[in-house]
Amino acid sequence: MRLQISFQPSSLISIFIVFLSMLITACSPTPNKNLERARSDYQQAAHDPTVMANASADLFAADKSLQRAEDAWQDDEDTDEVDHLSYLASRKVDLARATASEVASKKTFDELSAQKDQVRLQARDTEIAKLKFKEVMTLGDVLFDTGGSNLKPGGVQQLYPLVEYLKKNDKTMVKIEGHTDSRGSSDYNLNLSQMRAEAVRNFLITSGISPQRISAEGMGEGSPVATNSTSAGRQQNRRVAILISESPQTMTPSSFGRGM
Amino acid sequence: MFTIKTFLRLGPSAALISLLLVGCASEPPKELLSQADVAIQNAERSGAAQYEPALLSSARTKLDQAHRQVDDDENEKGASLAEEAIAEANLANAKAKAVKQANETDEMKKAIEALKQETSR
Repeated sequence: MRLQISFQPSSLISIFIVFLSMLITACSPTPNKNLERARSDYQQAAHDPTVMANASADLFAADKSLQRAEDAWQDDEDTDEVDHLSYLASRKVDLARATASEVASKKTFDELSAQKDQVRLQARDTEIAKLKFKEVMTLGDVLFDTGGSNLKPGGVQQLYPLVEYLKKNDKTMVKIEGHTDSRGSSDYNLNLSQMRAEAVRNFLITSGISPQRISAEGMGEGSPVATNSTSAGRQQNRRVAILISESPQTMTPSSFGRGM
Repeated sequence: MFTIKTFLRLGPSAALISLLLVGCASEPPKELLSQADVAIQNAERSGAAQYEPALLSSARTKLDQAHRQVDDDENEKGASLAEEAIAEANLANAKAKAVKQANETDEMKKAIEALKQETSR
C-alpha cells in the first residue's frame, strides 16, 4: 500500500526533519541522572538566599565539585566516575544547606540571647519597682571633681558604711541616683549624672556587692532639692542619692539616717 | 642543531608520557584515608552518632570498604570510596551541628518566654 502523502513535497521535508531529529537524539549521549540531580541541587541552593548569605564558602566548594563532575562528563569518562563525582557534588550542596541552617540558627540564637538579657533586666527593674525605697544617704559633690565621673578617694570612704550594710543585709536592693545642678546643657547633665551613678555602682560591685542588687540611674538636672540660683543651692543639687529597699526584716543603720 | 630539534620535538611528548605514567601508577590514597578518619572523628565529636546515625555509619562503611580496596591494590576505587566517606562524614558533622544549634535556639526561645511570664506576674 502506498502512502499518498509521500507524493507531496512538503510532507517529504517534514518526514526528513523528523528522521534527522531522531538521528540527532540518538547521537547525543543519554543524560546522566546523578549529574542532573547534582546540577539541580546546586542550582536550588545557589538561589536560596539563606544559603548564599550564610554558607557562601561551602556553596563555592560545591560548585567546584560540580565542575569536576561536569568535566568528567564532557571528557566521556565512565558512568561510575561521573556518578561518583555527582554524588560528591550533591553531598557538598547538602553540606552548604546544613551550614546555612546552622549559621542562620546561631544568628537567631544570638539575637534572642541579647533579648534575654534585656528581658532579665526588665524583670529586675520591675522587681525593683515593686519595692519601696527610701533614701538613706546623699553624697555631696565631694565624690567627684567638677565635670568628672571618677570617684575621689575621699568620696570612696563615705561609701564604706553602705558596703558594710549591704554585706550584712543581702536581700536589700540599692538604687543609685545621680543628680546635677542646672549649669550646662540638660543632655550633658543627664549623661554626667548617669556616669556618676554608674561609678558608684561599679564601686559597690568591686566591693563585692552583686550587680543584680544595684540599679544606677542618671536623673540629670530635673530633680533639684534646692534653688539653682545660688551657689549654695547648686552645691546641694550636685549629689548622688543612695536609696535602699525597705522590707520588714531589714533595719536601716543609724549612720544612714543622718545623710551626708 | 639536529639534536636540539629532536629534543624539542620529543621533549614535550616525553614529559607527557612520564606524567601519564605517574598518573597510572596509582599510589595508595593514604591522604584521603586519613582525611576520612579525621572527618569521621569530627562528626562523632559533634554528636553525629545521635543526630545523623545513618549518614555516619554509611561513612564508616565506605571507609572500611576503601581500606579493603586499597589492600587489594584497587587504589582508585579505594580513593573514590574514601572521598565519599569524607563527604558523608562532613555532611553528618554539619547536620549534627545544625540540629544542635536549632535545639539551643529553641531552648533560648522557651527561656525567654518563661522569663517574660515571670515578669508579667
